Amino acid sequence: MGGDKAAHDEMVLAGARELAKDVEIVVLAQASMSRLQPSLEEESRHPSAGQPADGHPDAGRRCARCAATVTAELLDGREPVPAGSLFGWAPAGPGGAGRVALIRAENERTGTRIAVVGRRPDRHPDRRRGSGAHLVGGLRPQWAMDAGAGTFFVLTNTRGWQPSGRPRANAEIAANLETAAKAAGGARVRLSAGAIRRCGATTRWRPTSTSGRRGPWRAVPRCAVQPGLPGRRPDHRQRRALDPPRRGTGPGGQHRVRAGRDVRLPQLQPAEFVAEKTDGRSAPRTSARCTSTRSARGGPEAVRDVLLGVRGGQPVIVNAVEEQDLEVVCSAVQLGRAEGRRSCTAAGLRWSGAGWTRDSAAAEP
Amino acid sequence: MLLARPDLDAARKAVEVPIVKIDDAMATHAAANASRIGVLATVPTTLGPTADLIHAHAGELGRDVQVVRTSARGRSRP
Repeated sequence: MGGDKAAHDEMVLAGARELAKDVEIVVLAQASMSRLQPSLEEESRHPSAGQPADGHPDAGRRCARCAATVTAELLDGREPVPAGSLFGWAPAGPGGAGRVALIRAENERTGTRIAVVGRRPDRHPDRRRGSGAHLVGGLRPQWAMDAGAGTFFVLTNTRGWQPSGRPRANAEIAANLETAAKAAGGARVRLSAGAIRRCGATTRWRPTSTSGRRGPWRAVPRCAVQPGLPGRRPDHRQRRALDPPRRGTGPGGQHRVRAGRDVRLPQLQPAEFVAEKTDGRSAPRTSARCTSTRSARGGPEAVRDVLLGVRGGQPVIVNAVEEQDLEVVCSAVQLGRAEGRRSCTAAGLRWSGAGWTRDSAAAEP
Repeated sequence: MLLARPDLDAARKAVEVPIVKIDDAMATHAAANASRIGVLATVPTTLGPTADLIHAHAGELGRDVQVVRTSARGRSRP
């Protein structure tokens, strides 16, 4: 609605009035509508359900059971959607566009995400603030997942909030959760509103070592995607600051050297590739395959094309050398599902099983 | 409860991270209190997942519900 709040509200109310004529309850599917819920009920004498009016008390009750400190952090789901919000920085080329499209689709559906929590102050990336909370910096699911037990992960929707209102909305969410948690008997629960980092943020926290995610941590500049501006892809210096070159050893002893946009990956011969991935149970002529180079350069669309091209029952072997490859593959599977293709996936538990689960959760539309 | 989200459900089992979807309570409330439910959104892509979520919660509750999806710009499909 281009920021025209009055027109938006009138449009919603008109739709609700019409809908209320032949239903028993009206569900307001977006948080931006929540402020209209009381007036709608009063006007139409119809019950309604919405978020966050229903969601916050429920989440608060669960917080109470969690007995942890909760820090609410918002991810703006409106334009521009930072490419790093779910999947890391989008690579150049068509794959990048595909990722951003998926991120937008995800945000379109669930909007904002609130993080998150913890009872491990020793692992707080910013100890100087002394908040005693494990603030999961950013909302890449891997962060939340890595935090382990004690983390509380709430998905919410705040697309309707204006940038200027987000700090207040953030505090409001925390207060709502806290109130609900206390009402549920969670006396030990303490909630606080965290900084809004996902859009317009200027720093984020990274470990000083790339060998693990444990501290010490340092603040690094991140691409400043300001609300109201078109999404800006980080240049190569920013990408290197966020994702420094590193070597990783994946299955089969392959390695990748990441330097800017260049990805060099020694490829196995098809027969070796298929044999390795299937423990010799499948032959190259009966399998479709997708190399990591293809997934890295073509993005989810390239992998999706492979998935859509196979016959029923034909195995598809997708090589994922790094975590980013897994993200691409998970996104591709979702794209395939969106086009009606059903598939069964398998990932090695030793190395990629956890990553597959995590990235599938992130890519779920 | 993460209905209609098998991947997230699997993730929760794998990592023991409590995950709450903020519209779960909304969907539960609607499914438990009405049999003909209207879903209203200004973004059409929100309608499908929300309707699916309501159906999933209704199934969990053993209720048979009918969901009417309506875009604030006009009725899409029942």
